[in-house]
Amino acid sequence: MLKLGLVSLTIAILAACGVYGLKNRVQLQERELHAVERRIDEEKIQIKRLKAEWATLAHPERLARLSAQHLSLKPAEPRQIMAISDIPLREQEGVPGPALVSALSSSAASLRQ
Amino acid sequence: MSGAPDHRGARRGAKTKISGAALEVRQARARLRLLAVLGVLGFVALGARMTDLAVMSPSLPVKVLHITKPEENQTRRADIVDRKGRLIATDYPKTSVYADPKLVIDPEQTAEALATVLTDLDAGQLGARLAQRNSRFVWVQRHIGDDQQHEIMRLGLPGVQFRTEYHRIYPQRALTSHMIGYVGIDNQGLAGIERSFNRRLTEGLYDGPLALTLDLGVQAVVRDELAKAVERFQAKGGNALVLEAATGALLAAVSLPDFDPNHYQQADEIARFNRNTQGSYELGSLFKVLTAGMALDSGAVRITDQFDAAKPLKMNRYRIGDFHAKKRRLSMPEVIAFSSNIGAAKMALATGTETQQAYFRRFGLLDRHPIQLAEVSTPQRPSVWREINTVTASYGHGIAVSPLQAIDAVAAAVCGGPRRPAYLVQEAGVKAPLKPAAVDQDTAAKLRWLMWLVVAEGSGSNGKVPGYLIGGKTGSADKAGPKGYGDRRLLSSFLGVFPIEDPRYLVLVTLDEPKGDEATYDQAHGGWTAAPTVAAIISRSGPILGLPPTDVAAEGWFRDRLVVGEAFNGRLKKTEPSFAAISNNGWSDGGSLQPAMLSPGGGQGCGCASCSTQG
Repeated sequence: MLKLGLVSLTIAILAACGVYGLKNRVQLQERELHAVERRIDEEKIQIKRLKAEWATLAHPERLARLSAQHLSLKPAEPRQIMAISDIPLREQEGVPGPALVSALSSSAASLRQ
Repeated sequence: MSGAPDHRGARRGAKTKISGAALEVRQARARLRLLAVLGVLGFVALGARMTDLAVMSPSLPVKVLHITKPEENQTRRADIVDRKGRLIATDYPKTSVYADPKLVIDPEQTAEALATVLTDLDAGQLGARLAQRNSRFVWVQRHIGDDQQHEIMRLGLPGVQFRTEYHRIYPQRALTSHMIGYVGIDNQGLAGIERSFNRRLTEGLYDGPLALTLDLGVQAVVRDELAKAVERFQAKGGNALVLEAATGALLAAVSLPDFDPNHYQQADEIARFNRNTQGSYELGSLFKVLTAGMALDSGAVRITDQFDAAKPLKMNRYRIGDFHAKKRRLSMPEVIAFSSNIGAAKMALATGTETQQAYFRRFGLLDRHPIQLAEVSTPQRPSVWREINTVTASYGHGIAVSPLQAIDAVAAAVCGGPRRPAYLVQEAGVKAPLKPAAVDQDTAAKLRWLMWLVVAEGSGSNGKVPGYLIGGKTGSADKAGPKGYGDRRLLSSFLGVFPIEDPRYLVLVTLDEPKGDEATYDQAHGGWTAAPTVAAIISRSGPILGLPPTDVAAEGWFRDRLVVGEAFNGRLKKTEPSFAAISNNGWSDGGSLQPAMLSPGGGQGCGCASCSTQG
């Protein structure tokens, strides 16, 4: 009977220690979780700020103004758009394709004139 | 007590006494066993519940946590983005400092410390406010910067706290003003999408951003070109729309003058007025496309018919004349190409009043447009529809509709099939249902040909764009003033369809009271003012939309159906080219229909419902 009691007491003490340790770990993790959550919130707020800033900086009228100031780009014209299927295949090595031949001959003709 | 000893048995003898004690022990054991079983059952139940809580449903309280945060108490709204996800409206987080005087230890010192970071702060005044121990909330400063917040945090002042509040901002500023609208001080939508989608934007915060059909790239081009035209022709204002023909998605909508929704209070009523949807205007000759459509579709008129436009038409006390009178017989295509009021009136008379009304209804011109906005006008139409109303309506007078309705009606006429009325929000369940076809495919093909003729040989030749084949129609309506019509104040428009061989987009530009300049020979008509604007919009936005240039062969298809002859212009006393259509070369007049007959590409026109702009 005494033996049973001792065993039970030991188990109870061990369990109490275990529970305390577990609770402690949970509390620590909870604290970490809150810290991470707060960081996530801060990051989210920061992302919102940056997205708004990006939209302001990428405003089409601003880009057009900057492009006119610093670049020599012009609005694309319809003739600059074509389907991929309309582009001739790359010419094989050593064998000039028909497009290259005609381009070369016309440039040669213009040189001769 | 059920197990109480039996006193009567004690008097009977020793034998019974012993058996009584044994019974007692047995009863006690039974009770212990019962208790043990109950105890075990209880622990098993507890264990089961613990397992259930820990393993089965681990993440219960997460959402509750978010709702109870202090900064979530205010109304927040979902973002609004364009069709490519570019930000149009968002909640911008701004941090404010406040203090709880009850927790502040030394008001004066706290105020002075704060003043070192927040330079425009009056330390003395703040110290006095912080000294009021009975209050628990004092604003120190609203909307401080990130670095200021960090510095105040480093000061470690007790009782000083931060609060992040969200303010609605519009990074695109005036670019999308009217359609997006704005919110009031309590973050509730007051106009535009912000108003009509207020529930979705506030309650559906976690459903992601609200995506519109607008394309900010095209929108910027349209606003730029329209603003140039309004300035050049000194117009009172103007508006422009770009519509995807097959789907009804609005790609751009600009109304000038406009306003910056970030400071909407500074804008007056005129600037806040959305001409595209709130305005209702007599749009003039644009309606001749629809008149031609209903005349051909109902079978009242054939494309080879001719109309006498030598003399003005007299009806009751009205006299209907042509602006650029030819004073001769006009073929049906010439009525549209030269925008003859007399010819249009005669077509409408041949069609009949009731048929005209029925087609107007099919085109959606008699009811309010179902676009997802609150600011939509109701069309003004004759209360009693007499023959004279039929005649004036045929060239767009006596009936006033919004520009949005007009572009939608023409889209229905040149596309033929069932289509959805124009819309702004892509989400499921918020679009108006498909409307049945307004005209059949054969009529739609003829209308495309007629609109090509307007630009190729008629009044819309300023709408030509290198690279794309354009169809269009000019419109120049006399504005009704206090003294009636006739003081030469115009509402000039041009509606372009591109590419006309297989319409993908429609562009409508309307200028309010433009004035002609030297380059337009002082002409302020749609063909001189609005048409070049449309052409500029098309040539700049076509490449943005990834539209390849028109196949050169397509123009041949249109030319093949044109008969050019000679006619005598009675007004100029000169011969001039005349234009008629070949009746059966290509399209069927009642015969069987083949796709190749309807468009150069063999498509059914606007057939590209699935190839939405993704470029």
